[in-house]
Amino acid sequence: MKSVGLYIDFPFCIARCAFCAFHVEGFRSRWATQYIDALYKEIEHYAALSTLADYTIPSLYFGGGTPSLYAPEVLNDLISHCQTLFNVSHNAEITLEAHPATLNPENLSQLFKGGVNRLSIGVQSFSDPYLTLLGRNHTADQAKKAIHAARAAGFENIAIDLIFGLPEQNIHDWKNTLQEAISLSPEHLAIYALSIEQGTLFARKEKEGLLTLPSEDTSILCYNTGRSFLGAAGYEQYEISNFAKPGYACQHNRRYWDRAETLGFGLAAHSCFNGEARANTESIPDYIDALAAGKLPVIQLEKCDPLKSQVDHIIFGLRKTEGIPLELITQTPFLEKTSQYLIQQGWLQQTGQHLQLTPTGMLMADEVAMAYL
Amino acid sequence: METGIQQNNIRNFSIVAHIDHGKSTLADRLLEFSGAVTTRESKDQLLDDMDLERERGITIKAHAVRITYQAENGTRYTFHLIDTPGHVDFSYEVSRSLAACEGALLVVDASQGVEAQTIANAYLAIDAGLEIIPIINKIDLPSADVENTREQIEEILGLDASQAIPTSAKEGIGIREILEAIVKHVPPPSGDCNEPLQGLIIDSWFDNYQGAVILVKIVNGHLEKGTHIRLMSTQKNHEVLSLGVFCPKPTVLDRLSVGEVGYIIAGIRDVGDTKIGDTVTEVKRPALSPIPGYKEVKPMVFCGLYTIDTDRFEDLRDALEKLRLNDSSFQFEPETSLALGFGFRCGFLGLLHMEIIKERLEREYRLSLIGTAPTVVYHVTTVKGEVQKIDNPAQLPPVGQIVSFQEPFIKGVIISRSDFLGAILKLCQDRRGTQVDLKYLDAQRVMLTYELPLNEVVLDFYDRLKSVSKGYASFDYEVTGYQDADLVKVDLMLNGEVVDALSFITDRKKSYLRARQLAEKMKTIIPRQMFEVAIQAAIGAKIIARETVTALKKNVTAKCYGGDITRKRKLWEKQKEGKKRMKQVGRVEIPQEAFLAVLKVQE
Repeated sequence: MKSVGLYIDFPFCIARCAFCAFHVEGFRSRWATQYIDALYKEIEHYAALSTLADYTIPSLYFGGGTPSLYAPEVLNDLISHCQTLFNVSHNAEITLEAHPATLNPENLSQLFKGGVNRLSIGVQSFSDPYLTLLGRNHTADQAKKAIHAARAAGFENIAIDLIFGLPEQNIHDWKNTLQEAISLSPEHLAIYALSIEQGTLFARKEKEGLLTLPSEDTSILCYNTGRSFLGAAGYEQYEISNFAKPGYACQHNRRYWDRAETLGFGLAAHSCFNGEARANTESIPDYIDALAAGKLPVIQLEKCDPLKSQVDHIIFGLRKTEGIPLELITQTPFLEKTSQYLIQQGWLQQTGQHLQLTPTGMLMADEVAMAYL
Repeated sequence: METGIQQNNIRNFSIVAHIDHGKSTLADRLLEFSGAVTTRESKDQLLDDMDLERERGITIKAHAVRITYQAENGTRYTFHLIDTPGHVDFSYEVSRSLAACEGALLVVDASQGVEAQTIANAYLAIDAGLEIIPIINKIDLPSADVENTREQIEEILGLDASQAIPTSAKEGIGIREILEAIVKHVPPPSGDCNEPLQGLIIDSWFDNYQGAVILVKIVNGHLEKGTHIRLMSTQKNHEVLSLGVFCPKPTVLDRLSVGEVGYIIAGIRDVGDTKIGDTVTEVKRPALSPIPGYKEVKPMVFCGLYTIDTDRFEDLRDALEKLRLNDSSFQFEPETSLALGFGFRCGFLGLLHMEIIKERLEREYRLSLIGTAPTVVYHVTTVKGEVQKIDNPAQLPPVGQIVSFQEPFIKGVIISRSDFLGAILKLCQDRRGTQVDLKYLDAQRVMLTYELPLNEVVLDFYDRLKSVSKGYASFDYEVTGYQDADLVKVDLMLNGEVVDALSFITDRKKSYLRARQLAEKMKTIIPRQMFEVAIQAAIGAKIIARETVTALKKNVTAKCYGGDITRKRKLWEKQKEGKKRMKQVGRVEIPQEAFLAVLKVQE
């Protein structure tokens, strides 16, 4: 049987973070309730497709935005609705992205009972001044309490996100944050280099010269320190930014790099399903209106071109530490030639029947990708 | 066809004005009023028939339209409206068009008053001995000030403006008055129908089917189909195959006689042979001398043109050849640049002429071009005592062989609101200008005359002038000649290799500052590469500025899930496309805009 991962987007937050360029709205906006109705309509439309009968659902991912802003009943109802409509595997990975300030023993316990079995908590830093700078609306202490509460509620798969390369951040501060994170022994850790995206508060500050970002060398040092600290603590790196204890790699996210089929519901959600790539509107009212009018909120739809898919397989597959099977390139002279060039550059290496990024290559993954395009 | 037009009933005139003062709209109204075209036919601004002309609101080539006008005195008159190019680059062409006229309508915008081109064009018309009829246009605008404009015309131009006609070409006000004034004030053409033929070439252009079409004013004599003509500057003979006038559509006639303005087709292949200002005469009975005033026009501004896609070099050659068919004033010859490959060194009458040609190449021939910074022609005296004309900095002889430099100078007239005077004086000072005159036209307006090196003008002087005067200042210039100068060539090097297309010649005193600015600018333009890039500017072997682009060590997307995948892929595709368009110097990849950086470092 074929499988497809389901993603559901919740584009509402307490406030916009200083680094965030996603399409989010304040949770109190009038759209928060209508949005859930629209989601149901969209999910039901796809559930009615005969093609989906042949698929099992190994992963369900609630991302955003901040899905944990919704009451646990709302989220649990959605889970059970999906379980009714689709062939969700009994051991499916069901992830919820959560903001530390939204978590408490009560809702955690309810969510756990409702079927959420993986919690991805946006901690970002264990240093309060940085949390303020990032506009996170939570403290390091709140984050720790949330993690403890999740454990107490029964969660056995907890993921933490951290950001490095913050304005004025030095290596010592980053090491502290890493150690704090490791001491909480989450099953999964993602470490992301801060990138200044257009339209964010940080972008504006940078333009005005109000942001002192660490040098490229410091940022590289932070990344490499993260890799060695996490490695020493028993985490395996399985992707450029993702680390997990053995057996805890995120099944859902792996699908993106494997170019395995995924269906995305909600605002700006993307799908790669049944030979088609699809993207939803990035406007909340458009999304709600389209579904209320019985239409799909799709703004982009393309058939997947075989060569393009093959290249996507290579450039996104190489983000994983295991790399890509050699057979993806050996049939096509252009891809083979490019791979040879990248090996000469010291960015790729061949290990057994796989092609992988080298440690230097990990810092140059976008250059590698462009070489294949 | 109508024949037997009496010489006494012919009126030949042009319209001269500053840009945007309403010249083309007035021409349209005159044509409509006299019934030459209906309003419906008039595609707004009839005389400008190239797209570019319409968009830029300027007339690039001259035209002449015949209008028949039934005057209030009952007589039918034949008018020839001779349109002139409205820009300084084409002042020679303007002077030849004016030489074909007996009168000129001087159009002044009632809200703007007299501007720099008003003065330049009015003086050209006065010098040509024309009867000038001042027209105060745009009186429908709320900001129109007819009396003040009248005063300006009198004070600045020294013309009697008491009879100036208040007009709104847009609203059709004052059109009959203008036509009547032409009848009354513009004298009929002089000349003798029985004298040997003298035809003044006002313009010529290439027609795919007919070859060169010559626009001519018959100054003396007459000509017919079958007449054997001679072009006096080249002494080449041709037989007239067809002739006629524009009404405004081409209308074939049997004969063109003294005073008339029309076209001749004589099977001439090359517009290079039909030079503006030259005289057409009859082989059988040639004129004793040509009409005075003819001169060979020489390009003043040069730049290198290269295709971004090196495979399209031959396409560029074809396109240049086609454009030259219609414009013999522009020159090109192949050149090679280490950085840019094969291209052409092109010579233009001025900056606008250069921009127009570049734009037409890109638009009509779909070529993507890199143009190097424009330069003037320097005269360099070498130790051997020979004078070399240098139109490309890369061709400059080594420093040791140069005894002296000369560069072209212009006399420029600037008119502006006086609040910007300080900024304009500073700009002229920075551009090595020498003040010749400073005159207040009225309480708010000032006229400056400066002598400036042309090379300081070709590098964005006009843009800077507009910018420091918030768009108010107007500018016009004429080239006055060559003067001694203390100049040096600055080379730009990337990792030790000279980028020949970026070398520039500048005043020695400014060389350090400009070298530093260029190096700084290049640092922002050159993307980081896998290795460090040293940007150095040098005079000869002496490094005078240095910047470093550090090596790229990290380029990785941290978060890459769901929608990021599509977004990133698109971004990478775009970046890769950008890389393909870069030019390689040694191992260093440079984007195209780097070649324009020289232009943008001033101030």
